[in-house]
Amino acid sequence: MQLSKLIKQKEYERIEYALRRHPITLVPIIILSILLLLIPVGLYVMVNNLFPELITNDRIYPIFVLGISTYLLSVYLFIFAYFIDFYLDIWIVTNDRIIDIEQFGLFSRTISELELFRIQDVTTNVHGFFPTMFNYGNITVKTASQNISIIFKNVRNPNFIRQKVIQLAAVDRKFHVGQDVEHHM
Amino acid sequence: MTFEPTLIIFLFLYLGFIGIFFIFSIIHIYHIFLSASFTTVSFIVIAGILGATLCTILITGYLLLDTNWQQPIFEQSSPNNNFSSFSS
Repeated sequence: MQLSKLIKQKEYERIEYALRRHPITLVPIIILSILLLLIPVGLYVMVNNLFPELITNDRIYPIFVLGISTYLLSVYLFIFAYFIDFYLDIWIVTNDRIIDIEQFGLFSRTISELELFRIQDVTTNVHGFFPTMFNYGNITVKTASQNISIIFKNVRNPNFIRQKVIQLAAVDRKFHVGQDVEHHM
Repeated sequence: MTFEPTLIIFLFLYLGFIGIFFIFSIIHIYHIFLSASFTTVSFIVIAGILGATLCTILITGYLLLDTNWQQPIFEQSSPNNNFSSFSS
């Protein structure tokens, strides 16, 4: 499936940005995954030194191998699930609207959107050492209504994107002169 | 006639787990296609995970090639001691 089908792109609409989280935000989970994958190695060394008879026992050895294999497959599944959670969060900015697609776990997803001409405030938040060094952060897009906002989480170049969203909103407002910006979708 | 659990129980449990693993993997891949996220990055991740999975299963099979799955889990060396199996 293509993004245009996913968002049911209108005829006059064009996709300006499709944003995902910065890959650097995956580093903690990569380190955790490496540590989890190294546990069986440590376990094997420990058992081999402390209880070598367990490795040579023809009853326990198959159970040990199957246990390690099951553990490794579980870690792969965990990594895959985390990647899905990471990669399937997308914020799409078109010349007409912003679409927020967020994946929560395996069986939960929310899709929300707001029209550009309703935007009243766009705020960026780059907070911390790594976001500052790698230039990523959150962008909060608010409408006139108090309860409608979309947050782009940990996206690259937040200030640049903020400026572009403001520009796109200004252009879009020209096509919606007279429409109530507080009217909800 | 008494039921004597053999090692093959663990093999069946493992095969069941592999089945669950592949069901979840297919759901993950389906999600990627459904959300228009099949890109080079997601392809590399899918290939990496499935490659690692295949290697793990093949190595597991290789390590257990000579296993006698019909041997009982608990060695009954004496009628009064059913739990002496874990001593070789």
